Amino acid sequence: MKKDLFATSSLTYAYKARDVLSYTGIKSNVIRLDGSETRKGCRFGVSVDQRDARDAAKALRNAGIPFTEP
Amino acid sequence: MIYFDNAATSWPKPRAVEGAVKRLFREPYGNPGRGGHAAAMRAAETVYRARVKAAELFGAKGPHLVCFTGGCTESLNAAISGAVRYGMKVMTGTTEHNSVIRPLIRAGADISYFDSLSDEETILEQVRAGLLLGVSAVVCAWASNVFPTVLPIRRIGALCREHGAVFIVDAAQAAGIYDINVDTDNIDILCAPAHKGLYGVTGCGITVFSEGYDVRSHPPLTVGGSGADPYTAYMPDRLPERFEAGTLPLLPIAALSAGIDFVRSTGIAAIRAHEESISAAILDSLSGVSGVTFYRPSYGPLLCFNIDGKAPEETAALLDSRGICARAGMHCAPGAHKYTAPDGSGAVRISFSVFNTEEEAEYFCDVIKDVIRL
Repeated sequence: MKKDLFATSSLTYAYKARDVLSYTGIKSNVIRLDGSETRKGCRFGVSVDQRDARDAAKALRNAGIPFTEP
Repeated sequence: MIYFDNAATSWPKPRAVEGAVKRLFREPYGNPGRGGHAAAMRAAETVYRARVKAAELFGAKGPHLVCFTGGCTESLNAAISGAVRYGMKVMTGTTEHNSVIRPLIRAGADISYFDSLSDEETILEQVRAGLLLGVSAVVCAWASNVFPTVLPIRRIGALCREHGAVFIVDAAQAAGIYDINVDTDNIDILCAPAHKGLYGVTGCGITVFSEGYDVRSHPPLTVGGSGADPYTAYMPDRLPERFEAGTLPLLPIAALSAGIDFVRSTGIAAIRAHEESISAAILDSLSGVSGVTFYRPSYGPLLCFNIDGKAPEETAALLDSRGICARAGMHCAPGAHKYTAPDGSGAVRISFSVFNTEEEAEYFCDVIKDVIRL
C-alpha cells in the first residue's frame, strides 16, 4: 500500500497528529522527513495509507493541527 | 534513616520510577527528536508521553504547552527573563525563594512586594493596589518552602487577568501536593521540578504555558538546535521547541513520566492528607513542650522550627546523628526567615512525602525531646 505523508510543524505535533488519527480510526506512523521531502531540512510528520489520506487531512484540520503535504 | 528533607528532593522514589530509569539502560534509547531510527523514535515517544501526562496533570490545553528544562530554577529563569523587561514593575511575595528573586533582580525589574504571610484578603488588596499602580507581572510561589502556607493563587491570577498582567507561578513545593490547573487557576506560566512532589529524579524541570500566552514576544533563555527547521536563524516561535534548545534530559523525563503516574494513581488529595497527618502527629506530640518553637505551624507538607539555645545547624547535626535528615539554614529564602529566628540564623525544616510514617514522626518527637534536654 502506498503512503501519503503529512509534515507537521514539530515532532510534538507529529505525535499529536498520530493520536488524533488514532482516535478517528486511522493508523499512522510518526516519521522523520528528510530535506529532500520538505525542502526545509529535517522535519517530522506522519505517514498514512494513501486510501486514508483524505480522511486524515480532514481529521487533522478539524483538530487544528497544522500540516503540509510534502 | 528517616528522610525528612522532601522539600529539597523527595526520597525514596516509587519502584516504577526506578524501573523507568533502568529501562533506559536495558533498551536502546537514542536522542529524542534528533533522528528517525527506532532508538531515537522510542526516546521521542517517551518524551511525548511525559508531555501528555504533565499537560493532563496541570490542566494544560495540550502537550505542546509543556516544555522541559534542566530544573525548576531554569524554568523560572526562562519564564522571568522572557516575560520581564528592564524597569518593568513586577510584584512578588515577601517570602519568595531566590530562584524567583534573583532572576527578577537580574532582569532589572522594579520590584514591589505583597506580604505573603498576611490573610488572603490583605494579600489580594495589596496585589490589586500594585496592579492599579502599573504592575505588569506577578511572580510568586504557590506554596512556601519554609512555612506550611499557600497563596490564593487562583484569585491572584484572576486579578492579573483583569489587569492584563503576566502571572508566573513557582510550583516547586506545590506540584504533586496541590491540585494545579493553569487554565482555571489563571496562570500564564507554571514552573515545577520533577524531583520533589512528582517523585522523579533531579535534572528536569517543567514549564507549562497557558494556551493564550503570546510566546512570540517571549525570547528563549537558551538557543540552539531544535531538531527541525535547521535553515532558520532563530528558534521556532512555536511550543515546545521554542524553549527546548539542545538535547532533552531523557532519563529524568522518563522518571518524571513514571512519577506522574504514581502521583495520579495515589491521588493528590491522598498524598496531601498523608503529609498533613505526619505534621499533625508531630505538632500534637510536641504541643506544650517547652524549648521548641514552630514558626507558622499548621498541618501541611513541612514544618519549620528551632530549639531554644541551639543554632539551626547544631540541631540538624544532632538530628543527623540520630538518623534523621533535616535541613537547617535559610533555605534560599532569606525573606521568609525574617519571620523565624530573630538573630537571622534561620531555622530547621522538616518536610514529608507519602512514604513517611507516623512511627517516624513519633521517633522524631522523642529525639527532639532528648535534644531539648542536652
